[in-house]
Amino acid sequence: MDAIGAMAFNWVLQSMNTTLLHENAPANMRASEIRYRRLFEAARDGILILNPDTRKITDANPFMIELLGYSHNELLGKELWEIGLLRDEKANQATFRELKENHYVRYENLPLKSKSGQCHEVEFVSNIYDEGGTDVIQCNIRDITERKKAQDEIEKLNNDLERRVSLRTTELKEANQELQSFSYSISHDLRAPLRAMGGFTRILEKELGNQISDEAEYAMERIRVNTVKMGDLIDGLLNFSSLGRRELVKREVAPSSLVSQILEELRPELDGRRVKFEVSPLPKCRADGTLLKQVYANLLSNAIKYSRGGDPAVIKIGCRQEKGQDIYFVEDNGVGFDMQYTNKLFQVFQRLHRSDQFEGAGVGLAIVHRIVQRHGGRVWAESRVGHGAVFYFTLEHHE
Amino acid sequence: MNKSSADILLVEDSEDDTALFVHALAESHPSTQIQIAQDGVEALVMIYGLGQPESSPPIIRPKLIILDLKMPKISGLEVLRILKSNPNTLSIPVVALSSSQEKFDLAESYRLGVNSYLVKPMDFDKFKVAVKILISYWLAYNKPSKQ
Repeated sequence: MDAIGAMAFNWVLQSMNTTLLHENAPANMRASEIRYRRLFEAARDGILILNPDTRKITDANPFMIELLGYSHNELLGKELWEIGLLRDEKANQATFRELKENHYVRYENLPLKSKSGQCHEVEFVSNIYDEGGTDVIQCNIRDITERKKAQDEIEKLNNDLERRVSLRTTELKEANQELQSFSYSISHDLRAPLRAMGGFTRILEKELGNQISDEAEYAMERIRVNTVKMGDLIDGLLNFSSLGRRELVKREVAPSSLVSQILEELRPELDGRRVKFEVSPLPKCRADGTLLKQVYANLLSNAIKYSRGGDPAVIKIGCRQEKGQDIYFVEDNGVGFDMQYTNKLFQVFQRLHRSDQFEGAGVGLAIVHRIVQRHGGRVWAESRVGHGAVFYFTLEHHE
Repeated sequence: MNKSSADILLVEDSEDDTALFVHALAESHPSTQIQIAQDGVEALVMIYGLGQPESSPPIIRPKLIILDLKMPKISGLEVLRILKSNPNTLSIPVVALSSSQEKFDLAESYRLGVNSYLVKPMDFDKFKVAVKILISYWLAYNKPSKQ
C-alpha cells in the first residue's frame, strides 16, 4: 500500500472505529481528528482540501505549501487551475464533473509548475468524502519528478543496451558469415589443386606404364595417399564449418531409434569383426534429430575404430541419471587414451593416435563437441590407456 | 546456325580441370568433338556471336554444354540463366560440373533449369567414370529436342 492508500485506509479505519464506538463518540472523534491532523501536517504528499461547490481550496498541508512555494493564505480560496495544477478552467471543470460522477479521480504524470517556475511531475488523486454531513474534496499530490527521472533514465539505458546488443548481434552474425564463407571458399579452392595433383599423377603412372622404377612408383603412391588425406582434411573442415551455419531444429527425439539406424549404417565398417553392442534403453530428449544422429555416428564410429584390437570388442550405449539430468554415454573396450591429453580431444584436427595406426582427419569429436555445445549441453570423456574409453554427453544446460 | 558445332562445349576456367576432362573424354569417347570456352564471356560469344545473348539464335548448337559454376567475369549460373531464358537455346542440355556442393548453388542451378548437376569427384578414377557415364548418357541415350 502506498502512502496515499495508507492514509485513505487509516481514514476509513478511523471512521469505522468512530461508528462502532459511538458511545464514546465525542472522545473518539477528537482522537481521530488529532490523528488525521497529524497525518495531514506530517505527510510527504501534498494535500489540498476543497469545497465541492465553490471548487476553491479550503486547506493545504505544509508539504503542499513547500512544493508549490505559495503561502497558506495565498492558496486559500484559489481553484486548482489557478495554481497550475490543471491546465485551465475548462480542464478544471472537467475534473470536477468526473469527480462528482465517480467520487474519484486519478492522474499520473501531471505537469505542475511551482510559484517560482520550477517544474514538477505529480501524481494526482482526488476523492470526495463526507465530513459530518458535508461533502469535502481531498486531493493528494505526490511529487514523482525524481521517480520519473529515474524511470526515464532506466528506459534510456534499456534502449541503449538493446541497441548495443542488436548492433553486436549484427556484427557477430556478419563476422560469423564472413568466417563461414571464408572457410568454405578456402575448402573449395584447396580442392581444385588437389584434384589436379591426383589426376595428373594417375595420368603419369599410366603414361610411364612398365618403365616406372620401384622408387618412382613408391613416390607416386605417396602422392596419391597424401592427396586423399588432404581431401579428407578438407572434407572434415567443410563438415565442421557447415555445422555452424546450420539452424538448430529441436523436437522430441528417440535416441534409441537413431542408434539402431546408425548401427545398421556402420555395419560395413565392422569388416567381419566380432563386435558386441549392448544398447540400454535411452530416454527421449529434445534435440535436433539430424545433428544428434551425427553425434552418435561419430562416437560409435570412433568406438568401432579404436576397439579394433578387442575380440570381441564390446560397445555399450546407454544413459544414466545424475541430479535429475540424463547423461548419455558410449563406452568401448578399445585402446583408450592418456587422460593428460583430454583437453585436445575435442579440438579440430587434433589426434591422439598416429594416423598410420588409426585413420581419420581429427574432426569427428570436434563435431560432436560443437553439436552438443549448440544444444547447450556438455561432452567429456574418461579413459585409461589400454582400458577403453567412455564418452559422456548431456543435451541441456543444467545447474 | 552458320558454324559447325562440336558435340560438347566445355565451359571451364581451370586449365587443369580442362586437361583432366579432355584426357578422361579421350579415353572413354575418343571420337567425341569438344570445344572449350575459358570463361562465361567466351562461352556467350561462342554461342551467340555478337548478337544479344538473351534473344539471339545461337551460332553453334552443341549437343551438350558442360558448365563450371565458379568462373571469373560471368559466373556459370549467369551463363545458365541466359541459356535457359533464351527460347532459342532453352533445349540445349546443360550439365553443371562443379566442386561446389553448396545448397545455394544446387538449388539455384535447378531453379534456372540445369539438366543435371555433377560434383567433380576428388579421385581421378571416379572422375573418369563420371565423364564416361555422363557423355554416354547425354550423347547416346538421351533423346534430344528436334530444335
